[in-house]
This record gives sequence, structure tokens and C-alpha cells, in this order.
Amino acid sequence: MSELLGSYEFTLNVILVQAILVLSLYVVFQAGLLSMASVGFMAVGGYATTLLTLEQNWPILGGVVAGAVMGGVVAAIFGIPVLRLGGIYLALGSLALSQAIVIGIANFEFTNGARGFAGIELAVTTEHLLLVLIVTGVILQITHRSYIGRAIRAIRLDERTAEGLGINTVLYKRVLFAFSGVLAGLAGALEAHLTGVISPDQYGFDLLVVALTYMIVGGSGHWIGPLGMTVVLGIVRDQLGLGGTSLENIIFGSLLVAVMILAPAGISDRVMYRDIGRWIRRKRTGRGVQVVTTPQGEVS
Amino acid sequence: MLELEGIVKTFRGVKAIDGVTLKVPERGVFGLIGPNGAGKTTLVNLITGYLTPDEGRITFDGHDVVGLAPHKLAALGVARTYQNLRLFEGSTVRENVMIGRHLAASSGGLARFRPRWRKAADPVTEELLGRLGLAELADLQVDELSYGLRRRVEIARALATDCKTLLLDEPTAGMTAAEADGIGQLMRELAEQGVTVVLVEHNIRLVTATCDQMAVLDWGKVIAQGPPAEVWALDAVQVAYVGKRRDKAGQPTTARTRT
Repeated sequence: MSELLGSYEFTLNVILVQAILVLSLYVVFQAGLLSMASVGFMAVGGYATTLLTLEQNWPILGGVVAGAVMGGVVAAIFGIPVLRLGGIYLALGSLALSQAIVIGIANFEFTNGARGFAGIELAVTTEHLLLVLIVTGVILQITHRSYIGRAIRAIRLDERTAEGLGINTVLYKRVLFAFSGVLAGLAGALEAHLTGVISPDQYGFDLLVVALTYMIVGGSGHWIGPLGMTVVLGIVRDQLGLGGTSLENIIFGSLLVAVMILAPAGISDRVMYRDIGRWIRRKRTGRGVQVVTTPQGEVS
Repeated sequence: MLELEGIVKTFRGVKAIDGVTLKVPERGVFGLIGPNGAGKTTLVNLITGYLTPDEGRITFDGHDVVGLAPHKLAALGVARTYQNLRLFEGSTVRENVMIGRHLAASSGGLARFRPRWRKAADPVTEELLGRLGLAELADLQVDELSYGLRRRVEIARALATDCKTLLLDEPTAGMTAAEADGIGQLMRELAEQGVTVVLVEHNIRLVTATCDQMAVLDWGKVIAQGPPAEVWALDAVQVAYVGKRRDKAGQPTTARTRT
């Protein structure tokens, strides 16, 4: 694939790693939880594989798997206290957790502090990343269409009512948080073997803001929204040479505000398409209210 | 069988429920009525685990259920509807009912993960939609339905949990008389099938026509309990609910002031 993509290969790979991170945010967002901890779990995964392959001579596959597992384990443990929070407090609590992890890494001896590591073996290719995304997508799609997926959407729409229908909301949220940690850890581990270098400043606020923008613009309705937005906006960002500039913050900030006003549930929101479809039909036929006939008579 | 014994619930010093003892007989329709603020919805919330009583015991089929989370009570077979409708907005009628099937699907363990690619994949859901007259509306979003129809979706969703006891919190509010009669008919059918229905209502006609037993709640206390005909004959119930008494000549007298 590298001949086909030429100089764009690396850019695409970075976008694909970000897509995994965005899906990690989406996994909890689909249950209505805005968690910002994924960037911290990504750092855990990256450092896990770095330390294991560089210092313990583990094979790369083992390191990547260990990175994903470590991300999941850390998420499962911290999920218990953090998920007691809800709404904006969860967002702040998980942001604090994420920053605490990154600051911890920057200050420990064994993580080489703020210097980080270089010379991590390069092994990740576009094919690997696509494979991971396809497998993740299949898992998410199967879940989406199952009773589990319905239960997750129910938690997003009305947690208390979901509870009354027999859905163990606390357990669901913890498992989703742990799965989100696995995906984030995987993204971090793959990135380490893609770029060959790792340092705490990679996992800063900038990465979080970009990933959150992709996810919120993509929406909570279906995983394809955040995934598609990551690829589209990632390419736009690269082509316009926006990465890391203040213009980027202005453009992405405006985009976020526009989406929140025009499509609060993101671009993968079914209800929005229904309303747009109706509006177009109304314009065309000039009719107002749609009338539905039931056995009991007419209701509008 | 659902039993409540000496239930007390206080909100900031106000006794919303004050020593309620009730036995809800199995396989029947049990009416629970009372004026606004009598504590009916609080009682439903206590039974379904949304609130924990300060004192007293609640047993369901012999299990002590005080302190159990709502999802555990649902697993024991207690389902409910809400006075202020709580549907999953932005989902279709069918999806709302299918979410209620979660418990039934869970009994299969990993079967929960089995994807359902077809829309009408669950026969129980389809049967319930038909039974409540929602079959043709199944693919509409619930926010497009009228109030009475939304109430019916909520009842279908509660029934989808395969519940043994169903608590309906004012199910016919906002319905026409004909629609309410339909719901009454449905409750009788359910009772015959072995479901215990607890009906919290303002609609006196419906309660009298549908219930085998009823209790009247006033200021957090049960003031009467028994078959509807006997309960309505009681003076205390007339005062609490209708607010009027009749003297010996059959003329209404001024109601006692409630203090």
C-alpha cells in the first residue's frame, strides 16, 4: 500500500491512529458519557509497549496487546470512582484523571520523565491500522444491532428508565469505560510503533480537543459518524496545513459551535435526517402536517 | 405476591408515606387511588426501588426487596410506567418496546450479543405492538405520537419485560373515554393471564369497573381497602376523595376542612 500512497502514507497512518482514539471516546459517548480520559489511557498503552519491547525485549505484538490490556485495566480501576460522576462533572473528573496520568508519566524515573523514549521499533503499517479499525467497526456494528446496543442507547436517552427496565446501568457504564480504555491503549501502543518516539507532551490538551471535535461533530448515534469525521477532517486539516496552528483552533472551534447549534446530536443523528427529509418534501408538495391513519382513527 | 408493611417515607420532615401496610393479591387488578399529593407515586417509586423507605418492609414473592436497585426489581418481575411519560425520545415505537425485551434476552447470556439485522426480529415485541394497536405505527419516532398513543407505547414496553407485577401510574391520563376503556379491558386480560396489575388512577369509573380490590390513600395513609363497592360506601373515602358528605336526608353538607 505504501507505493500507492507515497508521501501521504504517514499522514494517513496518523489519522487512522486518531480514528481509534476517537472510537474509544465514542464507546462511552454512545451511553451519554462525555469522558476525556482516553488520552491518558492512550499514554498508558504507549508507555506499556515501549517499556516492554525496549527494556524487557518483548515481541512487538506482545507489547501492543499488553498496551491495550493495560489501558483497559487502568480504565476499569479508575472507572469505579470516576463514573460516580455524571454530565459535566464526569468530563472534568476524567480530564483530571487523564492529566494526572500524563503528569505522573512525566515525573517518574522508569518512564524517563519528560524526555520519553526514542528508538522504539517501527512495525506498524497502514494495513495493520485498517485491520484494527475494521475489527473494531465489526464489533461496534454487531453491538449496535444487539440488545446490548439497545441497552446502551437507552442509558444515553434516559438512564433511570433504563434501570427500571432491568438494565444494570452501573455495570454497563463500567464495562464500556474499560472497553474504551482498551481501544485507547491500543491506539497509544500502535502509535508508539508507528512513530518510534514517545514523550508525555504528545498526550496534551491539543490532541484531546481535536479528538473531541471529531467525535462530537460525528455524533453519538452511530460509530460511522465519528470515524468518518476523523478521516474527512483529518485530511482537511493536513491539506490546509493547519496542524498545531491557532487558525486550526479557530476553525475547529467554530465548527464545533456550528454543529452544536445546527445538529446537537451530531451528523449521525437519524432524527435530523428525518426532519430534513420532511422539510424538503414539504417544500416540494406544499403540504404541512403528515397524517398517519391508525385503526383507531387519524392522528397527526 | 406483593406485601408492604409499615412503610414510612419522609421528605425533609414531611411524611409522604406514613405507615402504609398493603397486601396486593396475586392475579388481579389492584386499584390505588387518592387525591393529589396523597403519596401514590411515592409509593410506586418505593415499590420499584427508585426510593428506599425510611422504615418498613416490602416483600415480593417472599423476597425482601428493600434497598434493591430498580434493575434487580425488574429482574424479579416488577415493571412500571410513569406518571410523566418517560419514553426514549428519538427512538421508534418498536425500538422503545424492544429495549423492554432486554431482560428476556439476557437470560440467554451471550445471546444478548446476537445482532438483530431485521427490524421486526422479536416476535414478542411484534405481538405486543399488535395488542396495543401500535403495529402500524411501529416505525414512527415516539415524539410523533399523540399523548394517548405514547402512553400505550409505555405500557407495551413495560409488558415486554415479561413482568409478573405491573404498576401503572395513571395510564389513562390524556386518553379519551373509549381509549381508557380499552386499557381497562387490557388490564382484565392481563390479570386473567396471571399478571398482577397495580393501577394508580384518578379515573374513578375505570377503577370501579376494572379492579378486584382497591385501596384509598390520603395524606400518606391507607384509609380504606377492599372491593371497590365496599370502599366507596365508606364515609371517610367520600370525605377524602369527593370532599363531600351527605346528611341523613341525602343532602350534601360542607366538607370537613383538611388540616
